[in-house]
Amino acid sequence: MLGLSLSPTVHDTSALFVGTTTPGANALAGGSFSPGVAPAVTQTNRGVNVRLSWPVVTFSSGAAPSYLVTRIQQDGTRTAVCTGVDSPVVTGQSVTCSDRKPGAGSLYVQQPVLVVGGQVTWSLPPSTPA
Amino acid sequence: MTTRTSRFTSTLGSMALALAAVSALGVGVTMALFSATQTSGSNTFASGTVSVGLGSTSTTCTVSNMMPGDSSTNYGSGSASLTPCDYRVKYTGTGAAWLAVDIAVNAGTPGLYTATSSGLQLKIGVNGGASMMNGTVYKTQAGTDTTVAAGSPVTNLLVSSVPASTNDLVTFDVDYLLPLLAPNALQGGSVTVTLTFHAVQASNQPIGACVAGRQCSDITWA
Repeated sequence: MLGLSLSPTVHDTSALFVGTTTPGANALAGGSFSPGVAPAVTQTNRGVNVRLSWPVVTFSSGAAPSYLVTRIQQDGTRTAVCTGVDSPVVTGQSVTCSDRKPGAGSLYVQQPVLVVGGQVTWSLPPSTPA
Repeated sequence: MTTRTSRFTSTLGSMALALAAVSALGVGVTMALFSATQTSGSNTFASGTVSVGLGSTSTTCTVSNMMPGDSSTNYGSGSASLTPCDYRVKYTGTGAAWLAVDIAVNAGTPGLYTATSSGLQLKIGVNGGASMMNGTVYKTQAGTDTTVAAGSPVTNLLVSSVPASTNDLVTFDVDYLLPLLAPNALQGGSVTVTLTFHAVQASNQPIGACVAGRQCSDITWA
């Protein structure tokens, strides 16, 4: 071709035969919370207690988040509440719990978290104090 | 799916391109005819083929909504509750061939794979054996653990120290783990791991210092 002259020395050339397949593709994705912002807590006085509630938060895998609830007193003291027997209860699209020893004018925040094997893993930032 | 390419290079300097043009006419089949028109007689070459094909129809594996602690069944830790991604590859060429795989990890935004111990971990093994990628590292030809960086493919990981023969099947297993330590920043993150399988003739290509499961640079792959 184009004046090429093959000579007996052609066997000295190197030839590589190569094959390639269609790639195997793996797409992996992490889940996320919905909504992506922790809902604010609504508080309702129930005698000496305060009933706290907020809309449920879901995780895309179907795993049910837990909630860490914190009372913020007027002096800035932060105390974990809604623990033990008072832990948040999910009913339909709402989550509720009670604070038995509220301080006057206290605010509350809640933080949805994923708990795996007793360990807190992913979470949303705490809600706006309310 | 099977694609087949040929590479024909020459040590005869300027003859290389012309030779390649001639060879392209015949490599797609099993017979290539090279003819000379001037000083030499005709030269006939019977060539082998080197091709690989996927043994399954599924070439895409999708895992979604992972959460920290999730892992595939054979990863060895984590929930071991998710299905691994497996690929069966058949060598369909006629000549003995070296098989290799290229691994490309491309992170999304945010990237689930961070090339650290807190991001997605991958184990890519062959025929249920040793991993070509373990966590976030692969082994160089010298055996040095080297981090697989997102966006920088790792090429030419040798499948076996024995050349493949026609219809040899190879199973690639992709197992994964999202560690409990995965930070919040990885929520909604994604990653694509692409495996490209390829073969090259084994004849006239000694294995050199290459070791199965490691990157192999002593074999000319293309």
